[in-house]
Amino acid sequence: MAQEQSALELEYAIPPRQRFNPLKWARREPFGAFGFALIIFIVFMSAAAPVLRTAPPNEFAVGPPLAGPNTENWFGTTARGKDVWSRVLFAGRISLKIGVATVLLGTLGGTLIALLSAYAGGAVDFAVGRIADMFIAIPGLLLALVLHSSISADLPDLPGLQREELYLVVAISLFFMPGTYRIMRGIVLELRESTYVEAAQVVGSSSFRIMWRHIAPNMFGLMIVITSISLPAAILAEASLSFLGLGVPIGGLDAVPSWGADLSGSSRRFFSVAPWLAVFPGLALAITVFGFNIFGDSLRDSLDPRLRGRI
Amino acid sequence: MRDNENYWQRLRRRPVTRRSFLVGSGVAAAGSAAILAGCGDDDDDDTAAPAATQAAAATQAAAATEAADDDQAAAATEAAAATEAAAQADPDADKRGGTLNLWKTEEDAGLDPGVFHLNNTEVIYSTMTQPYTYQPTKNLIAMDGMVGFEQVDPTTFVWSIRPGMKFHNGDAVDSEAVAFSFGRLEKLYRALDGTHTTRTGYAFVDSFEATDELTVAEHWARPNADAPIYRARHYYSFLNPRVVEEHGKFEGSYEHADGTVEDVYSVQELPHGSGSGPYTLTKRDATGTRVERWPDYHKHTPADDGFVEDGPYIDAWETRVIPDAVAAKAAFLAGDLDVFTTVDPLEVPEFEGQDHVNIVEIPGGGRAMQGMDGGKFHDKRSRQALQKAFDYEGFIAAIRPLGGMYAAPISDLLPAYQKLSQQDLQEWYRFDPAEAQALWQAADFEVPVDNIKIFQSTGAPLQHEISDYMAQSLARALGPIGITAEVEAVDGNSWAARAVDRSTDVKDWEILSYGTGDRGSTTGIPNDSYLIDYDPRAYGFNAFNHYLESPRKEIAEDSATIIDMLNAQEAETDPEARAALLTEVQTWILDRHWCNWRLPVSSVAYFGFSSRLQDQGVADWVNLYDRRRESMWLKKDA
Repeated sequence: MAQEQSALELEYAIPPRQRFNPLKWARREPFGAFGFALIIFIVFMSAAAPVLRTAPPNEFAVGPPLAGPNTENWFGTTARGKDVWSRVLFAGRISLKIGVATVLLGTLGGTLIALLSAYAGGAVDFAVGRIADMFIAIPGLLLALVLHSSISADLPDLPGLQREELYLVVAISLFFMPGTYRIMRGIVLELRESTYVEAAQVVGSSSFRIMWRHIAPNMFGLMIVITSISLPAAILAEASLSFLGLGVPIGGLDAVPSWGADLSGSSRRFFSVAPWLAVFPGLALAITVFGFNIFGDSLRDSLDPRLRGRI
Repeated sequence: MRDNENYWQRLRRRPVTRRSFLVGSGVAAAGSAAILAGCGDDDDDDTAAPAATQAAAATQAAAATEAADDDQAAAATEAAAATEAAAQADPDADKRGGTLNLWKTEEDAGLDPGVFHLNNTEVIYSTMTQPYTYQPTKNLIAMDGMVGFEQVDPTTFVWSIRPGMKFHNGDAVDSEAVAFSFGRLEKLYRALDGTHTTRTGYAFVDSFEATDELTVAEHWARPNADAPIYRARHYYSFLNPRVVEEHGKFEGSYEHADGTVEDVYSVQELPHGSGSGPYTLTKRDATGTRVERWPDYHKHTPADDGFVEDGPYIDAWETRVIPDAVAAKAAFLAGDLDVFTTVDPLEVPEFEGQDHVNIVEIPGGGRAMQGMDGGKFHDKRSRQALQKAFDYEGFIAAIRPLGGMYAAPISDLLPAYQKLSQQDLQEWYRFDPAEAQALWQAADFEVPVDNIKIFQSTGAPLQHEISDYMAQSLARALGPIGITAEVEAVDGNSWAARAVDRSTDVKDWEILSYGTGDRGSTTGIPNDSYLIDYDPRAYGFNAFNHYLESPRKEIAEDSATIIDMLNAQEAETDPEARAALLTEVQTWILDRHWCNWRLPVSSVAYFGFSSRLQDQGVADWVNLYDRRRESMWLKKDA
């Protein structure tokens, strides 16, 4: 009897949880580790911008106009004598801030809507699905332009997020949210039919408890993957909108440099005579996006067994 | 996955992995791009085709020569002689032909010369006739539709129309048509409740009268020193009354002094037959406009400066809509445009290196205005505080690194009227943060101002830099007393709508920033350059809340004063006496810190012309009058 019981325990024993070993993961996913290192580098440079800067990023005439990279101005100066190095450093802050805020809102919002609507099913799920279809059908840039002219002036200043920044977050999130909803809805529909959810229903668990304790935790891995993949796209979207003049505040002592804005505006007309105006903000943007992309790619491989190493 | 398996082992084990697929695809794409780039487009080869054509022509010519008999040779000799004779008859034959390629940032909003005057001048000046052109830099009038005039008394002006002119549909241009064209300006203004902010161009005229077939008499309500120059403005175009009657759009009614009411029509589409200029409009859409030579254009004798007896040399003008100045610059440098009017001084070396580009230095000047909301800044001290909080020298160093100068209310491009020196101006434009703070704190604000919003349109990139500098300077100077400054930039249409929104007593901005001051232009009229920005009947009224009926007492009183001063200078026809009056007006504006203030402007500006464009009237091109210049021509071999 004791022997039968120990055999049974052996059969149903839950395997011990494997501890995450970063070094082991890095060896297995060198690209991902490299991407993570790039992210850390960018975050560090942005965070340390007030220390690493050589001049206030918005200060005019800190050097001669259109000076090339030199010992005083490491990345050169703009046509109005602003220091490109300092601007590149500070611009990372807005890119990361908008990127993270956007992805958090877009991913969490999309996941929450998917959880509620897919679990509820029926008319609710159908209606939400069609609304998502509607948003997906509208080109993202057009949506951002419409939002800019319709709601941007009415948004409030939030702590740590100015009105213009909030507009960017809302505009870009609305672009990402329907996609996240679509992916997450499929997962919820699958999980809703699983045996442990049925079991929970049988023992009388409330819908909220089932969603919160049994379904949501199983969506977490995919949510991280979506976040890591959406982040570079969000950063690029911020750069694109800033490029079009719809981005962060452009003037004043509190104005925030943005890679996208610095790649547009009056700088563009000097790119051929002062290529550093395009190269350094462009490089910073490319490195950030590249880092997040390959990190997210590896994360997806690690967390989704179906995708490991396959096309 | 086994624990001892690493990434590289996994790559080796699987024949086709996702990454190897992506890498392979990337390499293939890059390779394809390189191959395509290397191949290029043979169609653009501008030497191969002519060479082939020349070879074929040479072969044909040789064959023809061999086959020709004596008669054919004689015929050829006669033909050559005829060609030579024709060339002698028209010594300007080599100047004729070609298409002038221009650009503009936006589509026009209508072509009626009496209504809108934005983005349509290339059509109006090429397809219509005005009495004459005026070149401010030379102070030169060149007769066009007018051939002679007489100032009968201070308020009566009689002039003659060029005989033999026809509208494009064959109707004769006579004095009835001209009197109709000019008389409708005031009627349109009334019917549309304002069509021209510069109504001062015709507001002093009582009536235009056709006295005989080719004579027009003008009766003025009061003398006007600028009246002759106004006649060169685009709204004084000759318009065909029959076309307006047949194709016009009803705009409203105009009530005459005797109580009779007249319907008023516009021709925003400018139907065929509207004008009598050297070109006719053949294309107008979102991509641009095209005008082509009108074969029945009248003989222009004698041909004053800028005109040609037998009509313009250039066959057609193609104007492309290119919203982005950087794209236009690229097109110009690629040889696709003949004129590029917004060259930044820092860009000049880039342009100078191009063979097909001719960079011309023109006088600076221009408009870099900061309009203050009179609803909030009604106390003179508040406006003075703003102007004391601005670092002018720093602005010149940052924004005008290759040369800047202080700017008076009237443009330096009108030296006959602008008599204030740079030293004079510096007395008013002095950066003094401590005094700015004291003035601000002493000033009376009916509507409290804690934050100064500088409002601009997203149109010109340099505008961003100017507003940014302004915000930083004001925030630094007034920050210690708790005043902040910010910039708001919106698209041009929203900007214009909010600029002139008069739904409340105050604007939703504090400073309206407009004009980059990096290139000068003037029509030769002080009102246009730039008294209009201070005039309580013009921009002062609709944009800056500085107007006669203002609920703020100081603004209303000052409005009355400046209107009197503006009227007095406008009526003074003696240039020296007028200059003195204009100096008084400018001094008053600067002393009162009235309505607007001009930031330092570029002391030099540059235009880019293609090297094939000749006799373009460089200095006055910027004023648009020279777009009427028929003597421009295009070099064939450039």
